[in-house]
Amino acid sequence: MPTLLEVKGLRKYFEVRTGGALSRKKGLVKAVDGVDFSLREGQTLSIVGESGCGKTTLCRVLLVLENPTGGTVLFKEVDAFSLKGKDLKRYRASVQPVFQDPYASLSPRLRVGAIINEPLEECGAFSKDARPVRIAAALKQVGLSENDVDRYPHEFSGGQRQRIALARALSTRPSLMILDEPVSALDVSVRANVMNLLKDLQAQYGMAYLLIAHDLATVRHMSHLIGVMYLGKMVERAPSEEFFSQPLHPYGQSLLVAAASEGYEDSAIQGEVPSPLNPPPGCCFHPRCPRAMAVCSQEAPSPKYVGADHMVACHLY
Amino acid sequence: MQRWRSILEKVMHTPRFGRASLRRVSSMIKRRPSYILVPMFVLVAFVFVGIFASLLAPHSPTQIDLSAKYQPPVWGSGGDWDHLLGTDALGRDVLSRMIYGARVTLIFALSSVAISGTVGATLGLLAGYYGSWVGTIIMRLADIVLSLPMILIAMSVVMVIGQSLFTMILVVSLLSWAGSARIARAETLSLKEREFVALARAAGVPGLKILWRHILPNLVNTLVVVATLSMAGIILVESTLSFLGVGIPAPDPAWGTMVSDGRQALDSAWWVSVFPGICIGAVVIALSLVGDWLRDRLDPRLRQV
Repeated sequence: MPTLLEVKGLRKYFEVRTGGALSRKKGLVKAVDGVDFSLREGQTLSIVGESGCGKTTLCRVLLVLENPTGGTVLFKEVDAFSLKGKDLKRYRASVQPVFQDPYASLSPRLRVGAIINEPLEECGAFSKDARPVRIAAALKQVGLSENDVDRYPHEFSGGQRQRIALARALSTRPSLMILDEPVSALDVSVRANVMNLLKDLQAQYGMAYLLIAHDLATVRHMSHLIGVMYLGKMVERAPSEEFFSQPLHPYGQSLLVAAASEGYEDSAIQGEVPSPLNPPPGCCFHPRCPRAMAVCSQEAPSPKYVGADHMVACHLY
Repeated sequence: MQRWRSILEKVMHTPRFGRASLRRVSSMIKRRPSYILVPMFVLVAFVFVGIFASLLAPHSPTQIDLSAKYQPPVWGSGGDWDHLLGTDALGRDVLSRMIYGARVTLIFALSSVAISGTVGATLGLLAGYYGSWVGTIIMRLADIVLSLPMILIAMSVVMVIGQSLFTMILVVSLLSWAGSARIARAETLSLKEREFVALARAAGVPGLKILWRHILPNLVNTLVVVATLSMAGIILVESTLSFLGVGIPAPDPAWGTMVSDGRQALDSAWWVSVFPGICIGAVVIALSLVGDWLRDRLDPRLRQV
């Protein structure tokens, strides 16, 4: 299967003013600091990491909402940031997002039909007569009725709203869906339904997913590839089965333990994510790493391959 | 085919002031607390009188009749039903002048609020959404305008250009837009960070369309409240300017002018000042009460997305 999305050395830095309102001191937040991966059609890459690791910034860059500070994004072998006009519209129709908060994702003053219609209208590929058909079909695909076109978002529950957001993303028949923690804000009982729906849709339409999550339990059954991010860097990336059977990076291992155990065990990683304005020297994980060595505080590890597809950035290997 | 047509119709109709809004307004009114009835009635009466002034007034407001100078209201000695609320120094019927004054005040207030509200909201929207130097310039301009003394400037302008209703509307509008601009900008700043705006941008919707379709409809609630409350202030400004003699030019009736005219006879012919004064007070208080009620009903809902 051909490569759909190829990301190489992607970096996105934000300049921030540190100090008071009048100070000139500038700091740099390295939200995404060198991320590589490639995704094929119909595959799911799940990116896991704590808050602040850069997952949402990654999404925004891939959606061409921000310009990268460095690196390339190739979609169907074309640089996404070189696209303009009609090509950019086609890209936007092919790469659709679903965001985390179902209560903020739907414009409160628009009817469901208008919400789903928006990307259809903007991409210009669907005529005025074709759009209502697509809208009704999209609603049916997510398990809602086509009579819901008339209603307002506040008439729906959280799970239903997320389905509406999903219908909106599906309406343009995208090849890639970027799902930023799609179920985190939903009740646990509803999560399984939505994840199953996503899985069915993928089986039916062969879409690729970039699935962001902060815990592994949600994504286990859906992922083909797992990527672990920490403070803007990808510290481990492997096919799903290999990762779950043999996680290499200490951070990845702790995430797996946390997912497997129901309680708060002692083997969990202590401490909190450091501020991205001031990352630790060397390997950014070393202050919290149970297996840190002397070299970890001096030199940042470069990504190495253990096995054909298993990438890890750690001095242990 | 018929079914798709109707879905299409519904989809294309992005509602801001459509049937849905009317339904919400009427349900809001049905669920009103009882104390709001009186101020709402006052406002409805104000608008009604303003619109139908020529049908309601028993006399012409500018007709001078020196034989009926300072006639007291109907219940006083010497009063009669011809001049229900008495006459002023030139024998003009107080009631008729009040009725026509309502019309002048209504036109003035609605125009000023409409112009300043539209200008302010637009500038605030643009400042909030696009930010950077455009936003900074607009906000500094707003700060300057807010610090200007409206009455003094109105007086100066009138002395240069001359008195007229149009002049007054112009001056007051140009000096009142800053309040709604600030509020619009604040709301826009918070709205533009919401996910539905990011989704619209990810879909490729251009900036102005996002402002019109996503941000402006969510501002309307707050802007309505601001408009109602600022109308109270604007009516007071008009009354003050007319009182000072730089407002509506004589002999056209205006409540402020009437209050001023009656000053020299306050101890004997009190009705010339008091009745228009009561009108000013009633309308301003009613607007404030209704504005507060609207804010309580509309704004929390806005948060409840």
